[in-house]
Amino acid sequence: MRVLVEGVRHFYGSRREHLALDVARFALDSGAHACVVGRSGSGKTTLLNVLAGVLVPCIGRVQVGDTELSALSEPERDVLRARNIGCVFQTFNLLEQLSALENLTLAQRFAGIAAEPARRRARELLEQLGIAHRESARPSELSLGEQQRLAIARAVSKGPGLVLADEPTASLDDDSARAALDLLLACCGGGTLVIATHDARVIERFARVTSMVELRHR
Amino acid sequence: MRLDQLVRRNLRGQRVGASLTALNVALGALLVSVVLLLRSATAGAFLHPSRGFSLIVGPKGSRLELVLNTIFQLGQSPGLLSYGVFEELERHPSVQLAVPYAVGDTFRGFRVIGTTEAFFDPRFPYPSADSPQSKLASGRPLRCDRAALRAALSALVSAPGAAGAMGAVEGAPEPAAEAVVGAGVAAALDVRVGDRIEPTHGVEAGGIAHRDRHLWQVVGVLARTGTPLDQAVLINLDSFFRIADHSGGIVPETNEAGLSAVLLFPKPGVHKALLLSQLNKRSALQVADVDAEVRALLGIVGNVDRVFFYIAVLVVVVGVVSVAVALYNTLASRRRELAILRILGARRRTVFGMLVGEAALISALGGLAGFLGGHLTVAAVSGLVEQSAGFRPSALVLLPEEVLAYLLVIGAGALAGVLPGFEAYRSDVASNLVPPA
Repeated sequence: MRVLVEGVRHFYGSRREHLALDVARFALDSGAHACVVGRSGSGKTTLLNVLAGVLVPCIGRVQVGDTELSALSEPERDVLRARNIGCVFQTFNLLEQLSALENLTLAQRFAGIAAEPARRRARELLEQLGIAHRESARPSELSLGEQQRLAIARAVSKGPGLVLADEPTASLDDDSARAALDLLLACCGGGTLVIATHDARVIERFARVTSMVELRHR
Repeated sequence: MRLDQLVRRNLRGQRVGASLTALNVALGALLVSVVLLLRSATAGAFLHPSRGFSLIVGPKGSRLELVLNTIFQLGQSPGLLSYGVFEELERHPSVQLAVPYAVGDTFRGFRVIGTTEAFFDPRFPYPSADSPQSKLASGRPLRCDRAALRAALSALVSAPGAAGAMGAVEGAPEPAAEAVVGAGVAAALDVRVGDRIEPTHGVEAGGIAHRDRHLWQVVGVLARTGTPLDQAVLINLDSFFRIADHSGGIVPETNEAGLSAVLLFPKPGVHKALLLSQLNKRSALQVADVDAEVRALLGIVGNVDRVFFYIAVLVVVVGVVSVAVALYNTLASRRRELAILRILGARRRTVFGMLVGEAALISALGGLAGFLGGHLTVAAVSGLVEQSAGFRPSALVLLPEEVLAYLLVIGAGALAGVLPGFEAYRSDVASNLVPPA
């Protein structure tokens, strides 16, 4: 999925006094992998939220695939996100009341995938990740590494065209971070990947690294 | 995974909180169920026994008292009615059947009623009567010897107190003192056809023995009716009037033997209205429309139980509001979970539906527990109610009002989920994805 962010500015605060995101132009071809770096508060997470359609920027245009996000209504953006965009978070954001298997099937169900194929795909992924034996476990019963693998599996389970990852390795030790990143890159398939991070272990694996500072309007 | 599964999982995740909230709803539903069951049992206790009766003629006084005394065997007889009135009513062109009722004795605590074979007439549809025999579980109807009755009546009037022992009326044919006992009497005292029984004087339990010893031959046992009739002993009227102690049963104004009441079954059409209007004009008697009196009584009782019902509804409302409060209070800790659902692609209306579904499910489970608890409570206290009120409420019935009340509880519960659901609907995704510090 092609990604284009152009002339975007987003402000927080009641009087829009705080500039949270400032991107002159950020473009990615379909299937490209990019790493966005920057210090805390530089707008990395806001950029991912804008790409996920969770936030509509105050100014500028955001295009995901052939779709202009600002032209979509919120329910339409929900559908787009459910079907085409997978998200991975530093804190995993797994649903504690659901088992590992159910966490994977739920995301697919929102994407409109039928129950049985969703369950089959979820089991394949759990097998691939080496946690098939933990399919009934709640997220809190899994190790941090297992939780992040599960979170990655959830993001890619519906075969999205765009995967957005926000500091996906920040909570992991070196081995787990490496494994998680390998998995993310492998599972993305032909999908576009945007990782926001300041983790050197991640940055060194990417050919294209973009700084939030470079993206700003001049 | 469907929305309903997600709702169930969410509630399982908050088991203790959800259970306590459901308990609030359950207490209200329990009260509603108990009030509805007792109200239905009370109405049944008055409506069922009165079914089949039409008019009751008695001495002037309270019509309700007349109905309560005659049908429900409650209280004392309001007075006496001349036997001549019965004979007159029997011949009245608007009357198809008249049944005499004379009370004044008990048999080991069970009320004794003097009557005739008219009681077993199929035109008296109480409790069901395709034939005289269908009113009986065993034996045959009692027989009232009209000649013996006339002799007893004239002996009673000419020499009150001197009628003497059974069969002692001079020149009178050999009397047949017969009794038909109610199903409850037969079961409680192990009385069967062929047994001899000895009633005592007075309608209260533990009445005094008659001056002379009188024995009645049990000729029949009534089929069970589930009405006060099960607790009655019917004896033939001629034997009732032959008892010397019943000499007090004379109406002073007419110097005639007195009856407690006459059950009247008018001919179809306008005859009932005609009888009501004609008889109520007479100074010495009154006629009570059983259906109207029982409904008036239920109206009085209904006012009391309506208050209980409103209190019960109030408790349900408090329970349902507590569902809204509990869900609203948990929202703060659930905003992240809701944001995760949204980032996975759940629409705003999905999270709204989830909250409303949770509220409805808590109410449905609480309501179900409450209604089951209500039935168990009624089962537990039914014996106590029977002892104090004379009827046994059944816990094994499911009232349409209960089903309606249950659906309303679920509906109100869903409504209680609207406010927290709306808050969830408005909840911002981006700012809630980060776990609290």
